[in-house]
Amino acid sequence: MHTVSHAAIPLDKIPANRQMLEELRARNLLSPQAHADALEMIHPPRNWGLWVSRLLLGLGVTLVLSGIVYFFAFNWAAVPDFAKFGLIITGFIGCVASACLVGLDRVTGQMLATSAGVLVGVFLAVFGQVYQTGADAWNLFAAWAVLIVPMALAARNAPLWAVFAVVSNIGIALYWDQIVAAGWRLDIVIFTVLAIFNTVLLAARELLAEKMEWLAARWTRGALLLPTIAFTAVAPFDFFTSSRGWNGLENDSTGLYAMISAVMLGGFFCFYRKVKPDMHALAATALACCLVLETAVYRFLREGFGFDEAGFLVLTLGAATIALFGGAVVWLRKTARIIETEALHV
Amino acid sequence: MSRFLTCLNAQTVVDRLHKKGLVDEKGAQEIGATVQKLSAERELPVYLRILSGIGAVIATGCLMGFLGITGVISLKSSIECVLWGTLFIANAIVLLKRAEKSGVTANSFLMQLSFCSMGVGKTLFVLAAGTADIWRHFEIWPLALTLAAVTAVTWPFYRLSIDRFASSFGVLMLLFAALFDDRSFNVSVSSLLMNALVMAEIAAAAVIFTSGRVARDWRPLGYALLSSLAVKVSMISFGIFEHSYSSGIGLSAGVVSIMLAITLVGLIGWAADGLDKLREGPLSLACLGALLLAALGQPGLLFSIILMVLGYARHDRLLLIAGALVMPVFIWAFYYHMKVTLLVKAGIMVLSGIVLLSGWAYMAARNLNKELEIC
Repeated sequence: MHTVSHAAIPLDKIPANRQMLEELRARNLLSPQAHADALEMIHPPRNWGLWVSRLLLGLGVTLVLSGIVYFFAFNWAAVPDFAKFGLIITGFIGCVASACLVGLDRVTGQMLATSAGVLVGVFLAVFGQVYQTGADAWNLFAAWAVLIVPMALAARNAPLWAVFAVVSNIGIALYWDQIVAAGWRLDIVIFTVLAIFNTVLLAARELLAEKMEWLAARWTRGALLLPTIAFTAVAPFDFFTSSRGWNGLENDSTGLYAMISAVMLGGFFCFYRKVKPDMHALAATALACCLVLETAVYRFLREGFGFDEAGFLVLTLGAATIALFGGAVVWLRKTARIIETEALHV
Repeated sequence: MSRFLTCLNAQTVVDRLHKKGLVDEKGAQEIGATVQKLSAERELPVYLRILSGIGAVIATGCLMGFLGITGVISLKSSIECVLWGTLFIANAIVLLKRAEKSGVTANSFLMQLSFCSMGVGKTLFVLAAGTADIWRHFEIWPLALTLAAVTAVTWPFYRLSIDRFASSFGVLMLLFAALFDDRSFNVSVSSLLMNALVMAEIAAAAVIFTSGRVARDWRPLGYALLSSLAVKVSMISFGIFEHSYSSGIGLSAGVVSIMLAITLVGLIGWAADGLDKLREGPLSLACLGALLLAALGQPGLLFSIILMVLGYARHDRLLLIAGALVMPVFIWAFYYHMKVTLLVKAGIMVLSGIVLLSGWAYMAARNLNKELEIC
């Protein structure tokens, strides 16, 4: 939605972008020369070059690493085991040495360090293939995550920490599936465990971001927060949608996990409102809460108030939806204004 | 990523142009006034639009469920659907007018109610169009054309961007479904029309996003066109049409790839401020890359690159993030559907990676990747 009319905004508060230049050109307010000059101001060709070169580097490294993973997954018998290990170790040492030479503060160095982190996992997988250790898959991911940690600490590199986060999440999920509760019997527990684990990572990110510039990029918050919120919302969803009765007779701890999730969501609200104001984080949390509360309203209407008549049930649910989402929008709009004002006074 | 989006403001640009003598005093004032006028109407942030849009869609579903279950309106009667649909749409317009004059709290709730009312109204119109045939044999054309007509009629009066986006997207998807479903066409005519629809969508999106003459009001349609293209490109990339290829119906990966490659070349030219600039070394290489991707017959990769280039050129974070997110998905789809052994796939991946890294090395060697401070 939606348009909001404003009084004249000062020119220094209006971002200069391509759309603005095209509109001025279309109204003949800019000559072709002025348009070209303004365009070069907001988009110098050299910055295009930087953007394209980073795109090429990122894509190229991803494709080469994927190709290496596919190659070793093929488990080509014609390649002797010694050669396989030799190739991976050479690649690993080459990446680490080049990263140190290039400098870990440069994008190229960071890509090389991340590649070294991925090659550790490839090495462990090939080790399992060659020696048929019989270990469960979670062992591979756990060892991989543990081995990445010192590298990530030394490299001060957000993409490598992202690899660590993905690998450790998969490791925890596989451990749960293969050791604790085979066949995902305790699925709500594992989602809560993953939510807590990712919240710890997020807390570390928020704590250290001010001291470590490489961790302060906005994407690092989004990449951790969104899956964390998704994992957190699973338990309350299950609590409100499952067919279990609420009579207290069943020995069921779903409610406990739902409460843990509620506390965590509340924590996100407080943190991103008071400690590190972030409207996107607040909106994502609000969306999760609205959807959870929506299922809660449905359950209460069905079981709490005995709404058996389907027509009135959906009508009441529709009204509750407007109230919930409308309320969230009002709160977010007011909060955004307060945060803007607070930022001006700082 | 944010450091690549715009950090200059309108005042700085006008001042710099004035200092260079490219704009005189009167011209600078005129530019300032025009920019302020164009920016006077700001949209709510994307996160609020998404949140309220999701709420309104759920509420619309609930209200339609209520009407369907209770039978307050006979959904099988075209006349009743049209009458009630008109009432709901009128109600939505009135609510929006009230919302514009209200404070934050009332404005948010009224907008939500208004969008929900508009959703129910349009759904009733679509049902009315389908009612005549829906219980006998399902026809999609009347649904698509009715939604298109209602959207066109309400467009000038109802300025909620999320409604404009959702309705336009609905029309485009229904049109495509109608073409796919219609067996009265010759198979080759049907395929030709589908590819023509894609071409028309690309052309319309290009005009909306690159021309300064098109009002900002049309941007929701632009996003709807891109979303519709994304769905079609995904269908090709994930092999949805593979089963229908036996009957000859479907979008051609080759044709769509060529169309997208031409679009990408044009887009690069636009971003560089003129197609004549394409003769320059690095830009020629970029165009060659686009044509190579077309030769691979992979429209998904081309589409994600188009989104990223367009997003970066327009300082549009939404398009840039969308392009970055869909790119790995399309790369995965490309290799997953390649009918070769894992070993050959590995070879192709490593080789294509090396080609891209060579491009990066070339740019580094020619110092084309040095950042210029513009703020």
